[in-house]
This record gives sequence, C-alpha cells and structure tokens, in this order.
Amino acid sequence: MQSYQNMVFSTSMRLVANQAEAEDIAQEVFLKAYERFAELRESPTAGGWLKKVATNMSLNHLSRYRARWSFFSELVSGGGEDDEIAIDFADPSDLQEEVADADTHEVVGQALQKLPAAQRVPLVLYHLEGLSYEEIAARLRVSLGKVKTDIFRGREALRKKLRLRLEDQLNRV
Amino acid sequence: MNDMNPDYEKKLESAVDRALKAMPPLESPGSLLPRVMATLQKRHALPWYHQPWTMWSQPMRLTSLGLLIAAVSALFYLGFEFSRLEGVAALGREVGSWFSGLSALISAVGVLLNAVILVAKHLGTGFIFGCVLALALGYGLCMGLGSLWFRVALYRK
Repeated sequence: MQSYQNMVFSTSMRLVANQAEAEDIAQEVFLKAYERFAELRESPTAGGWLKKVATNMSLNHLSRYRARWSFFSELVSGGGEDDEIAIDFADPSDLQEEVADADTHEVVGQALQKLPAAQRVPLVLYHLEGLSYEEIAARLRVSLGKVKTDIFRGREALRKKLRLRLEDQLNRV
Repeated sequence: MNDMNPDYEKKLESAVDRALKAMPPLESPGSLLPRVMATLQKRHALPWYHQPWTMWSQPMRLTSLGLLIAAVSALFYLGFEFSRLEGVAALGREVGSWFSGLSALISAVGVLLNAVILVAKHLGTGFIFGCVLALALGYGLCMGLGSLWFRVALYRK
C-alpha cells in the first residue's frame, strides 16, 4: 500500500481538487483493494488497477456530489486570470534548477486545481490518464464537441495562468 | 486570434502535456495509512456475517451462493405449485373485490383532471406559460441561492 498511496492520492486529488475528498476516495480505493488482496498481491497490474479504481471513484464522486452545483460554481469561481505566474519549463541540469523545478511543479499543480471542474476533469483525463477525447466524452456523458472545447479552454486558462513558453512563439501563429 | 488554429492547438497541447506530465505524484497525507488500517481493524472485529461477502472464505462464499440459488429456485417452484391449487383463484377474486372501491377513486381523479384541463383551456396558454415560467424562476432562484451558500460555506483559500 505504501508504494501506491501517493499515486492513488494524486489521481484522486487532481480530479476532485479537494484534499479531504481525495483522502476519503483514496481510503475507499485501498479498502476495495483489500477485499481483492488475494488477486492483487501477486498481480503485476495492481498499480494500473488501483489507478483505474481511483479514477472511477473520483469521477463517480464528482458526478454524485457536484453535478448540480457545477453551473453555479463556475459563475462564482471566475477566471482568475489576474494572478498570472511566469514559469519556464526548462529541463533541470543541476541542483539549483531542480529546486526551481519543484516550485514550478507545485505552481502547475495549483493552477490545475484552480481550474473549474468542467475544464480540469477532461484535461486530467486526457493528459494524465491517457484517455482519448471519445473515451472522455463517453465517461463524462457529454458530447465530443464539449470535451474538445473544455480541454482547449482548460489549456488556454493554464497557459494564461502560467504564461507557458511554447515552441515557436505562439503569437506569430 | 489564436483560437482553434490547428497549429497553435498542437503546440499548446504539447506544452501543456509536458507541463502536466512533469508533475511528480503528490505526497499523500500521513493520516491516510492509519485511517485505512483503523477501518480494516474495525472490519476484522466484526463477526464474519457482518463483513462484505467478498471477504468471506471461498467455501463459505460457494456454500452461500448455492443456498441462495436453491432458495430462489424453491420459491419459484412453490409459487408455481401454489397458483395451481383450487382455492387460489377464488382467493384472488376475493382479494380483487376488496379493492373495488379503488375504481370509484380512479374515476373521481379522472373527473378532477378533466376539470383542470377545462380550466386551463379557459385561462389560455399565455397564463399557463407565465405560471410555469414563474415556477421555473423560483426553482432556479432556490438552486442559485443554495449553490451560493454551498460555495461560500465550503470555500477554502
């Protein structure tokens, strides 16, 4: 369990963006895993199983408790585009850069958590869980067009929040 | 405008992808492991029949499954045999007569509904549409205020 707890907690946290809820979900995941301990103990795919269960439980949690509030919550949360942070995603080559990199990751994580759920969830499913647009649309029960639009808006919001430096100066495009 | 330009989108996607994938896993709270262990200990303290079925031993699960199948089969068989008994049809008619009063109630509801439809026709669609709109607005207002309270109550900086 110790070797997987960060992975399970991260998966939940990045989807639900709430530490207490993510901890509850992680606990449920491990309790579920314990019920199948005999199967999972020797399985090389235990990590994948845990990640999948954590993702499903987080999505179920979001649809159960948050769906009715999502419309209004997006009105309240606002864009937050005035708190931009300048970040360079360079590869670390020495200790100093690694320290700066750790800060960078934290800032990216915070920016991701501040996104509205409608943008954050498909963005996480696409980039971190490796789901396709079609799979995300089916999983979230929304249209393919909405998934693409939400993901694009999420990326744009992240770019604006973090002022990502893209290759070939995007402004010229 | 850069919006929806395929080249721009591709570059944006790869930049965001790099940024997100570079994030290391978050550190889980120290309370997670003790919480899981405490819950498991509590579960173990329960008698076996209060534990989840998946936690039962293999022979116990097979036995319980067999018993369940046998019980359901017996129930179906007995139900079928019972329906073939002589007195059962008469009993059915007797029970039906107990609920004969319901038909009067149903016809009264039908008359009431017809009256409502007549009134609605008399008032016109504009008035009815207005009422529905007012109800929807009231519901929306309640939802909005509820959502606002929910967000304010749970807002954590």
